[in-house]
Amino acid sequence: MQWSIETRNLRRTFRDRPVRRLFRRAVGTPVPDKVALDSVNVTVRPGELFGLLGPNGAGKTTIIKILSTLLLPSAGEALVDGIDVAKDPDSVRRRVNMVSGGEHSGYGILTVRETIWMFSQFYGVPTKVAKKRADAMIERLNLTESADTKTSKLSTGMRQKMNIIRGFVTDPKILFLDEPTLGLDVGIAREVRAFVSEWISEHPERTVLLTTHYMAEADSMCDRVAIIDQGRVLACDTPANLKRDLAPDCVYQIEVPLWTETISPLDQMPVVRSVAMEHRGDQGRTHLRVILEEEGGIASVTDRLAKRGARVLSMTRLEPSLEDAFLNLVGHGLSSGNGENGAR
Amino acid sequence: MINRLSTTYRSLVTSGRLGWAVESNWADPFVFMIYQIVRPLFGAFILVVMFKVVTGQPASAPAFAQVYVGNAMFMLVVQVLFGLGIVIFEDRERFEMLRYIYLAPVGFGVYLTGRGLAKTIATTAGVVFTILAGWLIFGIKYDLGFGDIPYFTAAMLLGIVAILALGVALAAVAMVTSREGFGLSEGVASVFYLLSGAVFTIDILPRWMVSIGHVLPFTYWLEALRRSLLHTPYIGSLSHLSDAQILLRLSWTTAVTVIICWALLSAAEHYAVSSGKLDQRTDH
Repeated sequence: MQWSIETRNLRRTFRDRPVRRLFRRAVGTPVPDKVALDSVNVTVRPGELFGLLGPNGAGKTTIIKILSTLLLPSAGEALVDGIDVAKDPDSVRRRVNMVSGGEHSGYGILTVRETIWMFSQFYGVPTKVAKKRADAMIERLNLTESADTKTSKLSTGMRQKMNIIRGFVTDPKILFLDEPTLGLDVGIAREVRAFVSEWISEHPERTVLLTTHYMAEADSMCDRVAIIDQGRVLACDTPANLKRDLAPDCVYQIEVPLWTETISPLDQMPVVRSVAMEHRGDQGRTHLRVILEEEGGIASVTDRLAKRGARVLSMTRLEPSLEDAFLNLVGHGLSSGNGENGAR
Repeated sequence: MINRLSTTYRSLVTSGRLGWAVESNWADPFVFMIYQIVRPLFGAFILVVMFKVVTGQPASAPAFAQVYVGNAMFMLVVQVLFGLGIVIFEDRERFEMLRYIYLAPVGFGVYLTGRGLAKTIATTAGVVFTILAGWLIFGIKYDLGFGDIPYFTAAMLLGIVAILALGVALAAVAMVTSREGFGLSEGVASVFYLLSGAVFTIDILPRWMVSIGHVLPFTYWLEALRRSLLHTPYIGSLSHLSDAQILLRLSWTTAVTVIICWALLSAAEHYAVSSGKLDQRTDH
């Protein structure tokens, strides 16, 4: 089977600037190379919507940059549609496109329609086809009224919709979406997700690689998800299977008065596999999301909390979610964005 | 093959249109045109004053026509080199589009060439008006006969090819440097201004500089344009060459320039994707 995307022991390191590196070495404080990706092995099937889930700095964007030919790997191989990105980047570029979120990209002087048309020309899409596709996508994403507005006048959400269309209008065989809903409000993020899901259902032979740090986005959209942290893939499976790996009756949410210490009240408890703290200062409370090693461990947890002066205000047993699977694998929660942005 | 050529042509035109839109966006078209004419005209006035002060001769002196034509034509070099250097920094850090442009299968060199062509066309208007002003205001007697037009056109086209190639190369360097590096284009243009005899003949320079001048396409380009417009050689060390020989030298120096510049673009692209500089931000 030919994979749409395949990485073999992919590694990427970043070095300090040459002069600074020499200086550091001369003064006896050499800085080791920063490892962004370490032996990443991922395979994506044709027609799959594959997610890379991880916190900021995990290496998600680095993978996308390598696969889209914007960055060379330091070691290992990356194949897109069976083509090595380092050996034949031109052939790769004819098959892919990319959209990133959380930026303000766009030529302010051009209108939405002009921007989309321009990129269609760069990809060799015939003008009539490009126009028809662009019109359909503009309508689908409710951009019709802004289609002839200059990009500089668009809101962040509108601009991101335009960028989404810029990526899709070339009808790429493989599309890279790097945090496409980052910074968008709930409604627009939903529209974007619906658009992506609809596109892939209408084009079942196309492949989408999506990076996100929104748990619910990955859970609801992706056929399979790779959980990545500190440049390593920790697990790769369907969201359902990742959740299934957690035993039932092991996930709890416990509410205690605001816990101001940096160390968790459940620190170094053998019965606790991992715990994520979320402080809600406005409510004067802290939420502890606890994953236990075994089902019967909850009693010792409440005992410990009582001893540490953290009175249990409420306690809820939860069905394991992708967030719990992530917490279980990584050992900590994401820095932000667990399901906000309207992903559910 | 035809399909690929068609895509390349359309991309060239599209990037040219983008270049024009970005170049002329700060004013309405009328104001923009006035700016394109007034700026070089005032540059020409300054040149007249400088010529009078330095040489003590009036604008009607034969040497002034040579200086005037060289200076007017050299505007193309300055504007295109500077403009293409800026394109990278603007696309990368202001518009945040460089990576998407780079990802497009058309080829980065084609895109940059299109942007350079837009700058060339915008600047050409100023050059034409400056040349006309030389005739109307300063009394320069051009002698461009019907028979000179093919020679003039060939020289002009070869020169534009050399300018665009060098502009692309400088843009490639900008790709791997920080925003502060945009002065490089201006610096390089200034070096060519001196070494290719845009104003003063290179014969007055030290011998080693003259040798460099003799391998630059712009030296032969300006000489060819002066000969076709004024029918007199300017650079003494080239006076023994016929018009055809000047054109021949312009052709091969342009060819070598294109090869070197394309190699530089490839090397810079490779370095940029190796070190992750395509979407770096240096406007901190």
